[in-house]
Amino acid sequence: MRPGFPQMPSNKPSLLGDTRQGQVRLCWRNLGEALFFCLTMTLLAKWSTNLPGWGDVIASENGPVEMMSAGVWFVAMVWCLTAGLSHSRHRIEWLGLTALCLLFGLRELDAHVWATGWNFDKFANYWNPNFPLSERLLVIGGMIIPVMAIGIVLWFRIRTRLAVAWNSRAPWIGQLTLGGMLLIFCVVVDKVHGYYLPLLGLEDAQLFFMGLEEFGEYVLGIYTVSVLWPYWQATLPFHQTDS
Amino acid sequence: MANQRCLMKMAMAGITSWPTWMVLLAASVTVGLPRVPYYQQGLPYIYDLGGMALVIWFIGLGFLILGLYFVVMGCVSAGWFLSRRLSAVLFGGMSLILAGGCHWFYLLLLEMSVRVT
Repeated sequence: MRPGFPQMPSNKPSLLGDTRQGQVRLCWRNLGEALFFCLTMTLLAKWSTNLPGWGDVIASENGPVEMMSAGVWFVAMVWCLTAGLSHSRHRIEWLGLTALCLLFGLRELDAHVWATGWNFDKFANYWNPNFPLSERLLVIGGMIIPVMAIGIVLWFRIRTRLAVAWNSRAPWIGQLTLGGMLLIFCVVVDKVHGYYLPLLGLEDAQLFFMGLEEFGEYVLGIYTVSVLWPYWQATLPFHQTDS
Repeated sequence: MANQRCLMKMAMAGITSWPTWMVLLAASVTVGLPRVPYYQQGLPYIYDLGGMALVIWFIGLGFLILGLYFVVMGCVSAGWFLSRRLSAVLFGGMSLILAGGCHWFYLLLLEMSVRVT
């Protein structure tokens, strides 16, 4: 029995992601394409915006690279939502991915800071009496509990399939693993430039690490799109040709 | 005739590939976003609705790209039944209307935020 997550039909190669290839080759190809694409777009962004330095393009808050990466997550969110609404068999998985893309997009736009005026990314803020209790409870009830519920439902839906897919060398398990590694890389770089560099007195390196984080997040977004694209093509309506 | 068919296939491959649409997205964000009304004034907190407006703008961008994809697919693809082509164009048109609605809501939120402040 095939794993239940939306599968690209084996007889339908896509332009940039033939799922008949081996999982290792396919995920590295996705990553290579995403890297090349992001480098090209960053160069074009520098050229089109006339910003003076590379730091303004890559490492600045609300700079072109950060905005492009937010845009990628919101586009992915809309496509996942459409796939979920038009594909009843795997609706929960697609809607879970929709929520995940929305969260990544909101994180990219720093919604965790501007939504309330205090950073709800920091655990210490939840028991800080300087912030209104109603807002703290609203974030817990309106965001953290729903996200945990979505995570638990998704986990129970796919945990058996993960093992099956791993054993059968399904292409998407390699792509998922590499995506997870990219995500961990971005989180680590974020923590390094946010907390550890100032502690170590290495403020000069902060701009480099910030640029690395923003660029890594953009690569992660594009990588996700390149991985999901064949699945969207297989799932979205009106896409199958008659021939 | 064979050349024409080959060109058509290449055009279809380009249209159905993700880089085409991600380039459009990048152009919309880097060139289009700074020209959107009020964006130049920065990103205010949710209390004056600016941040939420930007989220709505990005969701609208998602619908715009989805809509354009289906309109172009519906118009360009060969060998499809007419009814399916029409359905694809209508589906894309509906997404474009949603994108327009998001943009209208974006402007409304920004106008409200300016009034609040």
